[in-house]
Amino acid sequence: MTLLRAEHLTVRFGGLVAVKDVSFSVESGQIFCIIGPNGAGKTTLFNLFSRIYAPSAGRMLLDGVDFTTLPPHRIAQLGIARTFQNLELFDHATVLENLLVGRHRFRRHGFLAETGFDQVVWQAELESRRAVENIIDFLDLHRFRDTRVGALPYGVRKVIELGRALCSQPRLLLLDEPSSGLNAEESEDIGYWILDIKRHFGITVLMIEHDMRLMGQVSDRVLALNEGSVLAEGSVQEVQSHPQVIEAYLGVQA
Amino acid sequence: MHFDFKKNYRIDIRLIKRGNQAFWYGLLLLGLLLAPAVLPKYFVAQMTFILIYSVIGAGLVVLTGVTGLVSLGHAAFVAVGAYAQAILMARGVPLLVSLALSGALAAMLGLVVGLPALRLRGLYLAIATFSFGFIVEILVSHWESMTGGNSGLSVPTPTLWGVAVTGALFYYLCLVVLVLCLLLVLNVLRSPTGRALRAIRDSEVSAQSMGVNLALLKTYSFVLSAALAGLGGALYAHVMTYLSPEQFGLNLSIELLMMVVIGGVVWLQGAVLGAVFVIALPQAIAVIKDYLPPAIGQQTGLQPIVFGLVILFFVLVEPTGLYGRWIKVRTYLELFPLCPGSVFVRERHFLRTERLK
Ligand SMILES: Nc1ncnc2c1ncn2[C@@H]1O[C@H](COP(=O)(O)OP(=O)(O)O)[C@@H](O)[C@H]1O
Ligand SMILES: [Mg+2]
Repeated sequence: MTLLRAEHLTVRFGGLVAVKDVSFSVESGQIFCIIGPNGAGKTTLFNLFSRIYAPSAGRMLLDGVDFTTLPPHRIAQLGIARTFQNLELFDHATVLENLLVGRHRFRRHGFLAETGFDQVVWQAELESRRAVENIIDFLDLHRFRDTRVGALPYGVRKVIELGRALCSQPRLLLLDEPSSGLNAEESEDIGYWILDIKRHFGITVLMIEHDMRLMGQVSDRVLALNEGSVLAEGSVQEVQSHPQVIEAYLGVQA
Repeated sequence: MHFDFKKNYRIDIRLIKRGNQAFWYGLLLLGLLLAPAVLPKYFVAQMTFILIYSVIGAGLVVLTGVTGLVSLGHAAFVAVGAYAQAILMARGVPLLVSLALSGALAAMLGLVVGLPALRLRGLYLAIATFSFGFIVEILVSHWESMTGGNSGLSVPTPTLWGVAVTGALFYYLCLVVLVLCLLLVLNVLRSPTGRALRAIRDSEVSAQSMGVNLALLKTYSFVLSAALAGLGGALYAHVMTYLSPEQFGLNLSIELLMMVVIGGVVWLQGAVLGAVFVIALPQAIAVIKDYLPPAIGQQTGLQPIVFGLVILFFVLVEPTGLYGRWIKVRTYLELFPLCPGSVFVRERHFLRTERLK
């Protein structure tokens, strides 16, 4: 079953065409990896899926529902969560609070109930907390629960961002370079977590990755982009041995 | 030194987290209740001011400290609350009803200002709110049939069930209003909305991608903040007993903003501490003046200069304000002698160029 479907997506920034007529489909339960050199338009694609940018042409569907013009704050509701290449955490809040914001899409009560903090709000808060604690267990973040995020090292912050996205219980998880800036050990952990996210939570993962080893370890399917266009799509081996991909990466004729 | 043993999730959500907190806040409340009985009238009047400023400050904490939106026009909301109170009371509306209506009117104005302000941030928002404050000041001075214009408007003595609410009684009224407002704001801050507001302050893009409706929540923050300013203004009207437009100019907006910055803009406690400071400082200056050499002591403008220096000090040296300093002292005492200096080193911030790329 197709979960995410991108149809002829194009993005222009003034004269620059960052994404050119990109089409692909992510099957439910897959780990789908997007690779490509810097400036290929990978992050721009993610910004389309989270509706931070609007496509100049094309449309996108999640499980058959067209969300090309949905307002950005409704994307979480639809079941898409993401991380950011350069970390967008709530630095002045604790780890726990950051993760709880991930639960925002489950907020059911109104402003009035909150000013009185009635039983409904209490129960919802306790339920959020239980869900968040599951993710804390999963990512082994107990030590940092009450620490302010701004004070934590880069590797931990990266995991927290992953955790925050998981807390919203998405159907589709977008990970923008989950291992960038991490050491070998940390990026190995990330690799195992990504596999577990697929197996245990049944979440479909669409990720951008530079680390070929991690990409090879987890991906079911790979899409290679260059200068905004699709170079190749297929299994890890197919894409890695594709002559144009090798050329784009090494800059030489294969 | 103490350890928190958390046995269930409720502990983290409760307002009072430890037994000794309940004790100290209880003691404070008891002190405030007994104050009119033991303190001279003048002191009680000053404390009434502090309570009123705290109500307004609580709103500014929500808007500026929590949501990260700066308002240089908050005096306008105070003005609307104050004038509405005076006008409603003069038309025979009961005290409590007119208090609620004044707050609601200011809240509606907050909605009107909040909507266009959604796209603005930082300096631009400061300029926009500043202009708004200016416009309201001019409207108030020109709408003479309602506000009395520049010649002013006198505020009727408040009565409740036939009793004149002045002096100590008015102090108690302000205390009740403040406690209710603080509870309300604390509830908002510990709920998903409060977390979403803090999220907006730290990163709008990711707040949005977690499902936070930026427009709705920023507007809410403006409305809540304006309502508290209006309510504070309504109480303020009764202490002033006579309203004129220049009381609600840019000076007041800046004074309010200074108050929360000095107190510690991200904590509600900061609003109260800041209010104490802003009310007490002029008194302190008046006392010290007599002991200074006349060349300094008799200078006009001594007070604004001292205020300016104080605010500079806090912005440069102690951006977390009085309450932030207090938290550090408290932590130090609790951990003594095990507290390494590095605990208080300011956090490192990571560069955030190319945020989305
Ligand atoms: N908001 C923007 N305005 C203008 N140009 C942009 C914007 N975002 C991305 N670009 C450009 O689009 C191209 C693709 O960028 P990006 O998607 O971030 O690449 P990457 O594949 O490395 O993630 C780059 O040339 C970048 O400079
Ligand atoms: Mg990128």
